[in-house]
Amino acid sequence: MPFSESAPHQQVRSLYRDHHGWLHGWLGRKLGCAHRAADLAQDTFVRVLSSRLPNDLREPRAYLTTIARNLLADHWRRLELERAYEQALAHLPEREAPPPELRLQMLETLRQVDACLQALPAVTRQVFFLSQLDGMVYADIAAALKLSLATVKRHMSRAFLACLSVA
Amino acid sequence: MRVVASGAPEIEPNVLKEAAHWLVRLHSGEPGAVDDAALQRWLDASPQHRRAWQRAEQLLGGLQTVPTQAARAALDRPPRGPSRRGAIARLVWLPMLPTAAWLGWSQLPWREWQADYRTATGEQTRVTLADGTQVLLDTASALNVRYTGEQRLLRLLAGEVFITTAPDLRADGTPPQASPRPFIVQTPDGTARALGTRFTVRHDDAGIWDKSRSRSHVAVFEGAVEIATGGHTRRLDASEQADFSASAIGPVSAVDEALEGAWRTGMLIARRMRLADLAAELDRYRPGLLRCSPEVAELRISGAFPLLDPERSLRLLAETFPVRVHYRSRYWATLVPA
Repeated sequence: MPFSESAPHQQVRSLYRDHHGWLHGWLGRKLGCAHRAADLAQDTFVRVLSSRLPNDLREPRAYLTTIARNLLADHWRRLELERAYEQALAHLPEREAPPPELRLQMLETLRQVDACLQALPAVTRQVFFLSQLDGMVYADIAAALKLSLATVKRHMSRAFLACLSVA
Repeated sequence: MRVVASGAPEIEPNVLKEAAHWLVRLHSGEPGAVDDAALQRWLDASPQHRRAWQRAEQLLGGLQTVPTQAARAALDRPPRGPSRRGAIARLVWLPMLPTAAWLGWSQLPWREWQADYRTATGEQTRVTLADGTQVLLDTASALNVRYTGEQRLLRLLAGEVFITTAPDLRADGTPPQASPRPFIVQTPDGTARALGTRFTVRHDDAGIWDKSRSRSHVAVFEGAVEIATGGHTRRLDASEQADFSASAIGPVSAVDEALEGAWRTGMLIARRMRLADLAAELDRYRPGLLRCSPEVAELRISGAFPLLDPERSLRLLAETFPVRVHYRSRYWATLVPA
């Protein structure tokens, strides 16, 4: 990623020089894995590069850990999703289990959908799941969740918009 | 390390809103909710519209390919932190849904994954039960088997099964008791009790929560079956069939053996069948949506259509009749005038 030596980038470079090692250690303790910690430390600085640094950064370590915590939450979320997915696949009868070459693709789709839906309220998510995973028509979802048809449509609209906006 | 690619051109927010609007209508389950021509005009109006639609198609279409229970386990997780409970426990968590009692029983749709026997869309499978009874499951069917000392009970959760009952041999091969255990198939609408037979039972769960639309169907090929529901009972003899709901049993009509249960051979035999009805049948065997435009819905179709190869059936239709298959996407096909 090419960049010129402008002031913000100088700031990031010194941030990196002064705190990268420390951040790596901090993440290592959180993750229990030095290798993964190195990846996330790099990701943290990539985020720093693409964001606007405040002019006077009083607490650089607090700033870095805030970003790192978000990345950790994402990381655990991905891990959890993958584990739940693998576990469910393991319970499928042989003839229903998808072939290996498709499994990764499916996981990637699930990650994307998960990312789109994660900020939505629980009810919206449930309406979406009942429609898209269980194939229920809106009238039945409305009856099941004791919502009006218009409300179901509003939830679906919100969910679809979320899918379109992030994908 | 993830690097953000900034190459893809952005799509305007109001285009996304319009696309979401179309999607809501498309997935509503209401017939006629989407005017195909109007949608096509919207898609043609701008490359941004097409791009938005492609995004949706890719994501939502991709989601359809994931086995339902795996998708639910992966996506429907409690919002906070890793939980010690496994994926199976989460599948039944849904505090807002009402509970249901039997005979009036409605199973929640995703409980089909717990079924003892299941077929996916377009799949058929044959099963032999402990007493020698043969069951053939049609597309998208789910069946639970509960043999006890007192009765042989099957619960049809979805789809259609063809049953050839066996004299009640026990699992260890010892001869049956003096009187064989009753053989009963339950659907959410009622029960069908077999009196030594070959018969089909079908459950259409078009209205799982709206009981008035839930229907089951029994057709008898050999022997007899007694239907029991909502205080009524009715015996069907060979070559008889009837629909029933939770409250009533419909009129008895004759079974046309060539048509009814023809799915067992993987073929749908149409005799002057409305194209709309034929499309609805093929849709059951085909992943995705198959719709029929109003101009051709009333066409009468006769012929033999391979159910397990729905694409071939569509080609046959296009070759023989004045229709064309219009593919909007991999998953969404519509029959239109040629």
